[in-house]
Amino acid sequence: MCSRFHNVCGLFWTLIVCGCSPAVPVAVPPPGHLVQGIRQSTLQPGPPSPVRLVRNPVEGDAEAIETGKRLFGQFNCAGCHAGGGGAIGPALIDDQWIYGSGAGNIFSTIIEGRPQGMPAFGGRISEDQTWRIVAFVRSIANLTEDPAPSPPASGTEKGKAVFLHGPCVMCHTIRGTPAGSRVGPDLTHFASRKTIAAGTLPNTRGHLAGWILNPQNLKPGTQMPATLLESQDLHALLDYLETLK
Amino acid sequence: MRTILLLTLASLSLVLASGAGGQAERGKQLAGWYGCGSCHEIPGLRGATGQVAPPLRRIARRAYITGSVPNTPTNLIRWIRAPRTVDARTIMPDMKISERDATDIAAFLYKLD
Repeated sequence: MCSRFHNVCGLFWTLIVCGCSPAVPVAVPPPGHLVQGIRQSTLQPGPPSPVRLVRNPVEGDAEAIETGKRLFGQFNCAGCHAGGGGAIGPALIDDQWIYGSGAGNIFSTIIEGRPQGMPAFGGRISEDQTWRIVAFVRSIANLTEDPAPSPPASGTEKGKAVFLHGPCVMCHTIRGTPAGSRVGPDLTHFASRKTIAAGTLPNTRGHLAGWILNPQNLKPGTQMPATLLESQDLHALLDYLETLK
Repeated sequence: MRTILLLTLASLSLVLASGAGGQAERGKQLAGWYGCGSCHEIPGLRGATGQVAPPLRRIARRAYITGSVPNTPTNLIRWIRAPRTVDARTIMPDMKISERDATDIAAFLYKLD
């Protein structure tokens, strides 16, 4: 039943894509290659899997940007964002990014969807297609520079990369970096704060570690999700956050 | 000679009885400040309900700590001060705790029931 449903979906998308642009065939992947969005549920068998740091494999690639532009039209992104100038949906060519302007942010926004209108494309688009759209969107926003230098030079630089390519960037702003989301608190001067967790804990390294790794336990109901980092990534992230005076 | 030996044994047992030889009450306050309780469950310490790392109740009775070294005051203090020198892959952060503070925290931990 399930595979039949997938077959029907696959046929549906094949028809849509071919119907929209017969001259430029775009490979639609078989269902097994589709990117599944992250499902939010209160039921979970144990803690979520460790965070994967994300980088666009086709960032700045001219051919990928060109394909991304076509896909932008084929998936009807333009229906809400117009040519990028915005209409029903936000503009993509200015510097206002509610959910962050990093490649990983835009990828997540496409796959997971966002409240008040942005549909989740998870399950309907391949990873490769998504990255190409991301490359296109970042190119029209003049965000061609990859914010993550690799390999990072110091612990602090590594921590910054963990922040910018991990889940932190989805919700927090650090001015002077691509992290510009306004969902959670602005962390630009985080190290100057006396307390964390809405004033409930002293801003010390120990409390901060516990807060990042398992905030729900310290403040039930907080919007901050648990972030299961590899230990080296956590230490680097703590080093970085402590530099934000 | 025998008196000296007895005195030495007596003072040694006193040191062991007080855990790591630090001030437990001060250690309790420091544990609260540094944030041990955000990752560990610690009985008697306000807000110490952490569920990131093992609970610390009755830690004095454990044979080994960190899953790797014998539970001696020296090892515990070293672990508190510089966890990654004991286990390079640990998630426990280095909180830049002084020898004195770590000794007092160890004294507090060794009194936990």
